[in-house]
Amino acid sequence: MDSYIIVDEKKCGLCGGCVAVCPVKVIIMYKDHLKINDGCIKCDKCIKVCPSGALSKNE
Amino acid sequence: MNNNYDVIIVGGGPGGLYAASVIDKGYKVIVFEKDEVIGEPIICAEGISNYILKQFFNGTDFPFIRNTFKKVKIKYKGYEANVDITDMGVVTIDRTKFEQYIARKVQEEKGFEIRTNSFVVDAKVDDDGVRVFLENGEEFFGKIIIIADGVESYLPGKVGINSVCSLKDMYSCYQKIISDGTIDDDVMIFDFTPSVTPGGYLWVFPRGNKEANFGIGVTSSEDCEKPYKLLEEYRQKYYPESKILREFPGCVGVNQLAKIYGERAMVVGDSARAADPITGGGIDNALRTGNFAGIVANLVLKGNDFSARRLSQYQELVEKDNGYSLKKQNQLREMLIEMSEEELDKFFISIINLFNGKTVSSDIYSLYSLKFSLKTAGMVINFMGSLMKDKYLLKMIMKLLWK
Repeated sequence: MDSYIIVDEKKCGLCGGCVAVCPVKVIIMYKDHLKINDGCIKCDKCIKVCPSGALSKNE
Repeated sequence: MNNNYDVIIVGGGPGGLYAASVIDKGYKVIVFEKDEVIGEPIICAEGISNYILKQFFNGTDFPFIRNTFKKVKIKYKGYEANVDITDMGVVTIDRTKFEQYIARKVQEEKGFEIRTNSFVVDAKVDDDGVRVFLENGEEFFGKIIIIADGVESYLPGKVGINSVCSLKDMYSCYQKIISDGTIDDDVMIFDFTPSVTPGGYLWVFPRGNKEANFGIGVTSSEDCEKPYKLLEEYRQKYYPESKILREFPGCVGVNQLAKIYGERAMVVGDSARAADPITGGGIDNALRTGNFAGIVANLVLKGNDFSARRLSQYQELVEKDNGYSLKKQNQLREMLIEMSEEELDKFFISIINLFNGKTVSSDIYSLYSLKFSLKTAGMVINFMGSLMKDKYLLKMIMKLLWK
């Protein structure tokens, strides 16, 4: 599973900011984890918004 | 069929639950909540005014109040204003108890169903009604849907309502619940110093017993350190001995959606980005929008007309409501974001001079002692006149300050 965005589940507090700013709505917040579906346009907005630095680029 | 409802509400937070509590008894209503328990987990600074709570709940003795404030301290760089807000009844609430309080009303007084552990992954609206799909594959049908799925909202897009939030309209926040001997339970603190909290503010809302919701919110489009780092720096500086009881990130979207209704659908609370653009406070506007959504649900169910045109009444009611000054607040916010540091200095120092030592009262939010400070007011007007090229915005600010 090589998605462009990787989630550090230890840091992620499931606050939902990334879901709100995602322009293509490929991030879904389940009860206990985030899921990033296909279709990411690599705009990095979710990385920018994340208050705890839980999201990063898979490079 | 068993899975047929009059109203489907997605989200068991204050907005969704309050909407349910307003819908007339006798209709078939179901609230879906993603988490296992109503009121958990809580990602919230929990500040609200008792005066607002009284608009939405009967009685005066609310079981969910944690702490009532007597003073607010507004800090900006080296300056600070101490304002008496004893009469305003600003409180911190226990959000878990608060949501469970509304949930009990919904279940016991209305007899509506609340289904926890039920994540709605998709919704479809067509001529026959609304269909929602749960994570486990179950399908439910409704005449209308009230979307209250919070900041992480993504259902509006499924029913044709655009809800993508720009970075500029998003506060990235981080909060620690701290325990510290130096916390004064009577005083809530706001710090607007730009280096501390770019495009936002830092808050200390005591919960009683020397514990406080201590958090920070920055505008997401700002180029700055992550909130969790900024908050920790501030903690080490001002509350070095504090014990961290719990900590979590949070996000608040502001600048209300252009359209908060659609065919058979209404969007409330944080899903509609109805939080106050300046304070980021979302509970009161979740209640407010939930209330109107409930009222309009009753009307359209009676009239059996679920068209977007009919439901547009929801947005009209929300925007006509006097307490709902989101647009003005958002204009002020956009202006603050645009200001240079020098302009911000002038703005906040004037505000601090104007408010320091004053008393702000509750029911009409008026400044008691303002008539005695015409001189200060004159000064502020002068500075604003020189600051603002836009007379319309200037007028807005004046209205905000002296409404």
